[in-house]
Amino acid sequence: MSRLDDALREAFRSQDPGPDFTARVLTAAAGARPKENWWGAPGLRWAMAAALACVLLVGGSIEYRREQEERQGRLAKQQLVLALHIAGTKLNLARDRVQQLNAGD
Amino acid sequence: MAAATNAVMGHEALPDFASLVRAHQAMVFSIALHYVHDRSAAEELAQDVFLQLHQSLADMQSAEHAARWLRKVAVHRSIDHARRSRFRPQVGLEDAPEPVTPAAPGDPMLSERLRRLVASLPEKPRAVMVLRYQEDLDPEEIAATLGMPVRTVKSHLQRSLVMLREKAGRAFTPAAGRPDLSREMGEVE
Repeated sequence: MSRLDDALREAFRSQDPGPDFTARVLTAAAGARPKENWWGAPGLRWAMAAALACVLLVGGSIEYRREQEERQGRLAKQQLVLALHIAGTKLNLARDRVQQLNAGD
Repeated sequence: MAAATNAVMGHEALPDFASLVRAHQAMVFSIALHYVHDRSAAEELAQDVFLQLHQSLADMQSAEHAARWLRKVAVHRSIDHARRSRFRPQVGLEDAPEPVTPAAPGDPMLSERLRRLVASLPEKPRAVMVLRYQEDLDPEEIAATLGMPVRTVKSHLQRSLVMLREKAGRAFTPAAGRPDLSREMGEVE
C-alpha cells in the first residue's frame, strides 16, 4: 500500500449529502408516479394473449380460405385448358372428315 | 415469496425505500460528487438515482442487489451528466492553489488537488478511479459495474496512477521549496 493509495483513499472518502437530502428524496418519491408495469398486470397479460390468439386464428383462417380458393382456381383453369384441348381435337377431326367427304364428291 | 427465496439463498431481505435511501445516500452522492466535482449537481444526480430506484423497487431481489444497482446507476448517470454538460473542472488545474505546507495523506489541500486531477481524467478512467478509491472495489468488481474487460480496468488504473504521480509530483516540486511528493509517495502497488 503506497502513500499515493492512502492519499487517494482519503481524497475519495464518502461524504454525506445535505441534511435534508433524505427528506427531499422521500418527498419526491411520494409525488412521483409509480412505473406503469402494464405488461406485468396479470389480467392484462391474459387479455393480450387472448387478443393475440384471436388475431392469429382469424389471420390463419383468412389465409387458409385464400389458399383454398387459389387451389380451386388453379384446378378450374387446368380443367378449362383440358376441355379446350379436347374440343380443339374434336373440331380438327370434324374438319378432316368434312374435307374427306368433299373430296369424295 | 421473494423474501423467503432470498432468505433461503442467504441474501438479506430488501429493506423499505426510506432505509435504502438512508443506507446508501452517502455512497450514491459521493460517486456523483467525485465524478462531476459539483456539489449541487451531485445532489441532483443522487436524487434522480434514488427516484429511479423507487420506480424499479419491484425488480430488486435483495439489499445487496439494490446496493450494486445503485452503484452502477450512480456511475452511469454521472457519466451521462458529464457527457451532456461537457463537464470540465470549473477551475483549471493550473489555477488551483498549491499547498504551502508539506503534503501528506489527510491533508485537505492534497485531497482537493487529487480530486481535481482525477476530475480531469477522461470519462472511463475517472469512473474507474472513483470506484477503486471511494468504493474500494477490486478490478473485477469495477469491470462488472462498468461493463468493461478487467484488463481495460487495470490499464486505466495504471495509467491514471502514473499521470497522478507525474502531475502531483510537478505540483510539489522541490525547486519550489516543497517536498517532492511523487518520491515521498513511492511506488504504487
